[in-house]
Amino acid sequence: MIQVRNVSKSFGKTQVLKNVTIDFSQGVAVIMGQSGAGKSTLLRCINGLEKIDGGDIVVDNLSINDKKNVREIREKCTMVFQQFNLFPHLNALENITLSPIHVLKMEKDQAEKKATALLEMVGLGEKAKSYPSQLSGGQQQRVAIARALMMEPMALLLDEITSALDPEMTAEVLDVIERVARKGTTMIVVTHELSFARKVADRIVFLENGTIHADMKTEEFFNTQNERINRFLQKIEFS
Amino acid sequence: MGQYIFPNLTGYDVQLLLKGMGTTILITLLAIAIGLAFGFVIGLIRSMRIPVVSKLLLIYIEPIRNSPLVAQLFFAYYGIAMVTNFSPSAFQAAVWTLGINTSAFAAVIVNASIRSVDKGQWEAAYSLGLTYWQTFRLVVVQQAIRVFIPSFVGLCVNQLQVSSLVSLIGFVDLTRVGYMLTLRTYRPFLIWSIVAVLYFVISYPISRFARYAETRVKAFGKIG
Repeated sequence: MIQVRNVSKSFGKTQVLKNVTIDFSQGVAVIMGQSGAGKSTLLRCINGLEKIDGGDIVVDNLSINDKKNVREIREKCTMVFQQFNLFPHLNALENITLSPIHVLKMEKDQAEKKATALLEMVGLGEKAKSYPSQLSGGQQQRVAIARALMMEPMALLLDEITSALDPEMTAEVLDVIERVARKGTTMIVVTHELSFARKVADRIVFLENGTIHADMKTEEFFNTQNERINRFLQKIEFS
Repeated sequence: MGQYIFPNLTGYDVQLLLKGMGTTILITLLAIAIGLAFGFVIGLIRSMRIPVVSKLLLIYIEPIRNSPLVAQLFFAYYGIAMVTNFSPSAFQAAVWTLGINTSAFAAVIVNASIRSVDKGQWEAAYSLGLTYWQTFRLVVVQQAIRVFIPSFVGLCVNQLQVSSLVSLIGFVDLTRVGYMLTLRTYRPFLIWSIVAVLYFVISYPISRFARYAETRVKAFGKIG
């Protein structure tokens, strides 16, 4: 359970999040909104990559305002980034096993076994020894997903993970995410992929100018009479 | 004709040259060790971008980088003795001045190497629960070192050359031996050729290593 309470965040004079209050529990929540609406910032605040200016974020009863909790919260909510951010000096398997070995103190053999299974799950069983530079964007992103799943997080935070990929690679990555979602993993997903959202999301949160403009069930969202949302959806559909 | 016959180089002179060469290698190595140790710590702290501390360290780095080594040597050798009870030997002044000089340049290289690692690398590691030091050790150093090595080796070559300036405070390094032999034999062409070749013999392998290290950096990720 992730509870966001009256969170505000500014970068310089621009207030990006304005008193945002929202809960995330089981299921897939998709966050939509124009660029600059605060979607990524919200995810980054939950992960403690951005320090909040006001309010509180509580993950499994751990407040992010207590510095001691930040690491534990990160273990519970792992993040996948737009730019993959794989470690270039490590091969796919090492990328995935690095943090379980050093953070969870898992045995190397055990970590590798589990990592191999995850690599197979994302369809990259033969790429265990490949370095990031030898993988396509879509493959790198799938390794990054496996890396995040390896921590067995309570929730997976996905920050525009297909925005740097061409349509074909986007499809292969979303395919993996769909499979992960069906296993019941809790996810908070920032994306502009409408068909993906329609298929996978349980709930859609629409952010605008740093506030939550709408928070509704997926079918409700796509059939809403809300003029602002319809304008947004049209813009994406025809872009 | 009454022409004055200058003495020839003797076996003893050759020994002197080799000893000078050894001394030059020794002070350069000591200076590099001091420079690396201090420079690493200072560069690391600079890379953390702690508001006031980061600027304060510039007070150490910039004057050293922007003043001649000769002035620094004279300051250490003659200056310090005038205002304190401590009067450093030529060896101490040479090694420490060269070492601290190296540290200022090394600090800049260390800082730049660490900052060359993409911010996303830190974030990815943090988001997986790694601590600052785990991230530094397991993720950042591994990548920064590839930027660091070629620049640092370049610095070492440069410091070897400028170490010749310690001869100006009377320290008997390779260059000083060159002076002495020139005065005695009056064969500057021969002596300085030999001195130059001896510097080259130390320097060239290091330069070669720098080039090798650079190709390794470019091949980054391909060979792992």
